[in-house]
Amino acid sequence: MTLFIVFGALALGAAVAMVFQRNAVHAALLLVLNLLAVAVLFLSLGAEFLFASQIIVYAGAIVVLFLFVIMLLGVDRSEVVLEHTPFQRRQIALGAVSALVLIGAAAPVLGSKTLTAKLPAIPKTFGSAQSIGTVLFQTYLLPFELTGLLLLVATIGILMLAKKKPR
Amino acid sequence: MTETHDNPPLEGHPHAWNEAVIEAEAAAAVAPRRLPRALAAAAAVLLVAIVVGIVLHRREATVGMYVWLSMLLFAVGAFGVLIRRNALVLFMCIELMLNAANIALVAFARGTGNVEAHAVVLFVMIVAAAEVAVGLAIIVSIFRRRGSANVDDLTTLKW
Repeated sequence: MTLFIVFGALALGAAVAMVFQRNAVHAALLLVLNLLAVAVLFLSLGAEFLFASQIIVYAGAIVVLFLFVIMLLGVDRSEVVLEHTPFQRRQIALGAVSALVLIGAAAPVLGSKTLTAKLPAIPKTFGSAQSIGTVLFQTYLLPFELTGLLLLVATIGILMLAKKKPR
Repeated sequence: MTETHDNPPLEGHPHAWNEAVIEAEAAAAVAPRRLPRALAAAAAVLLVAIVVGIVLHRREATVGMYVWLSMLLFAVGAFGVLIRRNALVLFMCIELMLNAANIALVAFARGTGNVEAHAVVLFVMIVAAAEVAVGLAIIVSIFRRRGSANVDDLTTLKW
């Protein structure tokens, strides 16, 4: 519980700060903080393998890619997030309403027994690389191979997009 | 800055708009000085969270709490996508939403004792990585062509 409250608050605070951060580099660093806090939450839920891959894939690779592009483009200048124009005010009202709708849509489920029951005891191998590997290479073998294909297509697509076009 | 002060623009001149932009940017540049206050607020929140956590440490966290957190993070991400205009920050908000969904999946996996959801989370991570790579490549090529990463500037398809 302590772990959940502390790192949940950290994740939520970092997310809110990220949304209202003017500077794109600071926003990326707050995203790292949020992702690391979520990684600890994964650990508290018994997902050791996902804890490691969250740090490596998200906090490592993806955010480094973000920072690299921010600095490549030179858009690390501050921007004005909240201008007090009618359009922006309408946008914020719309954003708040849709956030509330998202929460309200899930509210009926929250009272169900699965959600309020005590967490069951789990076997020691729960969430280890071995158990996930078993699931991945037996039940989900075809989707796993397809993600490999997806990554290949993405790599080729990036090379095509990033290539300088001959004039 | 000095150039604009040497020959100030006339009233109603097109440069008047530029002046407003420069003032807004100057205000934004001053803003980082407020960072210590933000840090203090963050530290206070964290301290309160630690105290609450210690007080409640005997109670066990349920799946529902994690689902609540996941919903709140998702809502914050969706809010960010709607109000921000920097394409890069938009992408970060999308990552936030994907990650919030992952929390719910892992929480349900723990609640039901089923590891299959972990495989699904792994797939979400892989797809997010591919999506970010392609999206950032698109942003870079748009920036090369238009010199801006602001989504409000991309109005070619509007009529």
